[in-house]
Amino acid sequence: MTGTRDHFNDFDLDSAEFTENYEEVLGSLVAKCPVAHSNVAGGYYVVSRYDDVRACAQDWETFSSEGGFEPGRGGEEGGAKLYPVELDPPYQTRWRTALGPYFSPRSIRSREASIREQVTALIDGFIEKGEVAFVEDFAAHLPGRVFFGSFLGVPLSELPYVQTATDNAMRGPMEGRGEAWGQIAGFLDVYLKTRQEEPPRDDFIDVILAGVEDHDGNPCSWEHKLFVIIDLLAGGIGTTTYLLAGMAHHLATHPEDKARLAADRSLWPNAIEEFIRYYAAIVALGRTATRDTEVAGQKIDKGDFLMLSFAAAARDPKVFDNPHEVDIDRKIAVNPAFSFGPHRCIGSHIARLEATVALEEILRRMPDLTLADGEQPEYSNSTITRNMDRLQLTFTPGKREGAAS
Amino acid sequence: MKYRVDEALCCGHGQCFAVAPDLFTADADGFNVPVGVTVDVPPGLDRAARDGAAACPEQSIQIYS
Repeated sequence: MTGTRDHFNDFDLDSAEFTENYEEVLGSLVAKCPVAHSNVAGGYYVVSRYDDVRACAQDWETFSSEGGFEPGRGGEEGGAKLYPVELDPPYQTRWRTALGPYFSPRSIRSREASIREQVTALIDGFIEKGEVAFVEDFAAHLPGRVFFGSFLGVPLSELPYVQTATDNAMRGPMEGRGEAWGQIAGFLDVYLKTRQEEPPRDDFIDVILAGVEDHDGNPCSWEHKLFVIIDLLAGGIGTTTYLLAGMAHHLATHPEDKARLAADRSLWPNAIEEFIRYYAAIVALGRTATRDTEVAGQKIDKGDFLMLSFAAAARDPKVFDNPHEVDIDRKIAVNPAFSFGPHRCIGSHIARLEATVALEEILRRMPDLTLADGEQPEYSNSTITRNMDRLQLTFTPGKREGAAS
Repeated sequence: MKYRVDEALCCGHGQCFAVAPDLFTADADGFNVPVGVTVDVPPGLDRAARDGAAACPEQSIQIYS
């Protein structure tokens, strides 16, 4: 029991008891209840230990992604989907193979200068004030600017519209999120149609437009292409926002780590990997059992729904000593925050690059960054994601640097 | 047995060549080749394929049995 809830037998990803006792609940699941049960949304299991999460994620034949990524989805014909997240091989593999080259470390390196321009412009927006609502004015904006601006080449004049829609879809009032997703889908539909008339740019949009063969061996539909571009957006925005906010929170509250990172860039890769582990944005993603099986001694029936908790696996003490602490010197052999198996995060290197550029610019321009007086960060969960909604920071004001600001 | 290296994930850590040099090969920059295609594992190298896949920090190597 944590709070007033029995998380082992009556777990709920959306319960206040989980959101408010996040570290404690994840820790106790890993320690005492490797397969918890929920009575929400038709019932589901939560798999929490590193080895079990990895084994389930790698075994796509037993644990299918096609029953939806969260409880209560899947089954409905004609509904919007996220592809390739909600696909199994071999159709899923065709998309990964086609998209892969455009997400490789070598391929995304060329976007670094553009990402730095976005970071500079955002910091310019508040650097003279000496204070910032970091989530609202930086972390929630950078990933969208990078996706639409740096990767899709959407002109600056159109960025505010789609950025506002993206922010509303991710963080706005619940009742407005569906409409905001509709606006995004409409924007991307028009964008894809426009690109179809233009010469190729050798980017992942070319690949989406070319399409791959679907499950039946036919050219995939236009709708599937839209599901892919929406998935790439959805997978990269809120997740990276949480990483950037978590990193800034750590810097603002751990001056010794901040000083070491400012003095020695060789510490950055490990530190960023640790921020990704601790601030694992995807709490869990779903799988549907395709046959009767067993996970950590728990009998699983064909058709049962399981949530694989990457955030819990990232806190498994068998793999990570003192898992509830941020240790910037930690050596992480494989980061469970990005999942395992065929669905491992395709954008992992973009997240790392954004975090690296942001870290560099924050340390350089706001070296005395600290939490604003009397402030603590505010967190929330939205089924599959962990979010930081508010982070108020102060620093010695500086000068704008961007050409256009 | 077959394996496939996901090009989006491989970033040249070189751990697969280190543990399974008989199976995995590197390009000039230290990235696994070939990527993005399914490759048959030659006879006797199933263990090497599994070890190489397990060693990858990015989990970029998928095994298909």
